[in-house]
Amino acid sequence: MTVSVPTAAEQKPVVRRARRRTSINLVVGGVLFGVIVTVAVLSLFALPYEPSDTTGGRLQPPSGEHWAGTDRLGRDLFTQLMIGARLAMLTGLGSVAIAAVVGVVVGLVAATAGRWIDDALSSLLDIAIAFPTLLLAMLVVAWRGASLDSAILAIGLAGSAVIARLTRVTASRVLAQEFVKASRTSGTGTLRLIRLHVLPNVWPTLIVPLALQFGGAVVAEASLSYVGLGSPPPNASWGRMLQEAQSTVLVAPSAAILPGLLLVATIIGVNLLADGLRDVADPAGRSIR
Amino acid sequence: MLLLAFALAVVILFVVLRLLGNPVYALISVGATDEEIAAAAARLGVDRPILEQFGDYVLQLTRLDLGRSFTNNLPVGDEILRRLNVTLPLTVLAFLLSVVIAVPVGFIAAWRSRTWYGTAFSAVSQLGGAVPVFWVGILLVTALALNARIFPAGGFPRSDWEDPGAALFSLTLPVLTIAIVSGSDLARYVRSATLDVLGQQYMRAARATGQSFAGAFVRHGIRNGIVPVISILAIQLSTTFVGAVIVERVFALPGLGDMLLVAIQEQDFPSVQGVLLVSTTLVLLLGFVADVVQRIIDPRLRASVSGNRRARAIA
Repeated sequence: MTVSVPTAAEQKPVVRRARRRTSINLVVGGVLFGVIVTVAVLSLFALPYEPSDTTGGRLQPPSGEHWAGTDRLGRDLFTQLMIGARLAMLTGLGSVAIAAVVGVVVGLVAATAGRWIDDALSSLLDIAIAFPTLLLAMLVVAWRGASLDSAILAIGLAGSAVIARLTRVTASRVLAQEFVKASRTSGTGTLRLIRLHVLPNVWPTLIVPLALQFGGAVVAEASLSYVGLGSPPPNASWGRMLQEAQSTVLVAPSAAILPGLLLVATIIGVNLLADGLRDVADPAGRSIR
Repeated sequence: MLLLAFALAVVILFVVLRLLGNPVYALISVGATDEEIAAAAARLGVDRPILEQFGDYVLQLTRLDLGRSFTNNLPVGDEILRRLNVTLPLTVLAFLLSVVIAVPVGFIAAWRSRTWYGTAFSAVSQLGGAVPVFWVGILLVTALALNARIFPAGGFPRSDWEDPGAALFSLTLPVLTIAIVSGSDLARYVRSATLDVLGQQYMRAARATGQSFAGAFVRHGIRNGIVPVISILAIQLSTTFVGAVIVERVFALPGLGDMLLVAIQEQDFPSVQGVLLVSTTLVLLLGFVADVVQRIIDPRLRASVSGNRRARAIA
């Protein structure tokens, strides 16, 4: 995995520390997350059973034929877990992409437009940040109906507020720099300024928050699915699997444990990865969190 | 600021639910004729001009009237108040318990960060913060209600709070569930705030004047360290409230979250609107209170420019 290092144009010169050991967080997080990603990608090409194949016998414990057992309709749980991994990755990528695009655009508008628009947008962002993701998601579901798209859209929009605020702060700081003023004086347009100077300085600061949002998005989608507002069957997400397994937990405990473990592994993996990236990118900021 | 946020919430909820969604579909069956659709629209009053509807809605709100449910025609406000009987105690108890868990855990994790149990406390709080709240609920139900049969697996006494013991008993597991998750989340913040304070010059200076560690920490450390923690507390209280929506599902509690989910599934827009509006108001109020408390504790914040601007906006 490549790590983008702040460009030479950064305000403070990067002093290489003597201590450049690889971050343990980065390695452990990378492995955990890598496994989930691999499973998700594999699920696109090969699944042990058809998702709707109900010939496995009901609520079977894990065995050689069904590695994770079967659900109450006789469907293979390992297959569903793989599809769940795919949905989790889709949710994470989709909502992080929405958050990044919307957030960066709004943040740049706030930073470059006049004082009035900046004030208005900033107040709006304060409100949006205070608004809980899940409530927003439920509002979107009430409007568009329960689907994976609704969930991704809502979670992404909710996350974009934080990204917008970060972008605004970094972008205004960059725009106030001497070299940017010089560039502007020599006739560079605002859009070109943004592309040449602002964006390269904004992206590195967004990587860690976006990675954290990835984990948050996966949990949010799982929660929505758990209460029946996520993607409808047969594309079971881990949250939905847990909801279905809850009533039969005494007969088939593995169905209520495995999806949860995978969720936890994904979230811890992404969070460690984010911590690791921060350690590598900014050794001074380790304890902040 | 607060009023602006509230007004914005009212408008957004109205636009999303009344303009983008069509409440008529909730009342008619498949294959309804045009006349039936028109009749349903007339009954709900959604055939009138949209501004007129919005005006009526705002007028209703000024009388603290949230309208009537589409599905059972009962006043939404009354139903929300009844549901808050479950959700508010659940949220408040869970929040208090999570603070009781988080403060010592976070403090020890920072204070003894180089010992094995300090590290263990950090690790546990990291883990706890990464576990989805409903999964903790499922695991607790399985262990303590289905296997050990100590607590009820779900539900709330029909007599409501007339029998406080039974009501509290049925809330024990849900409270524990939320407290474990939001407590470990909070512990991480307490830990980093404590770490921050312990490394400060003023702590060393205080010790150098002969104060004991405890004395210096109480006098200088807490007052400085608590400021960022309070803003987190407000966020935490609102996420606890939202977490209650999910946890109510795990334990089949008849709270606000249950009402919201049922209303969404039945496309009962006045109920959805009412619950979301009440929730939003509570969340915004909490943020506001945290802001004020922070300013009382830390005089520096009062002097800042943004503080002045916000103070003007409030007045």
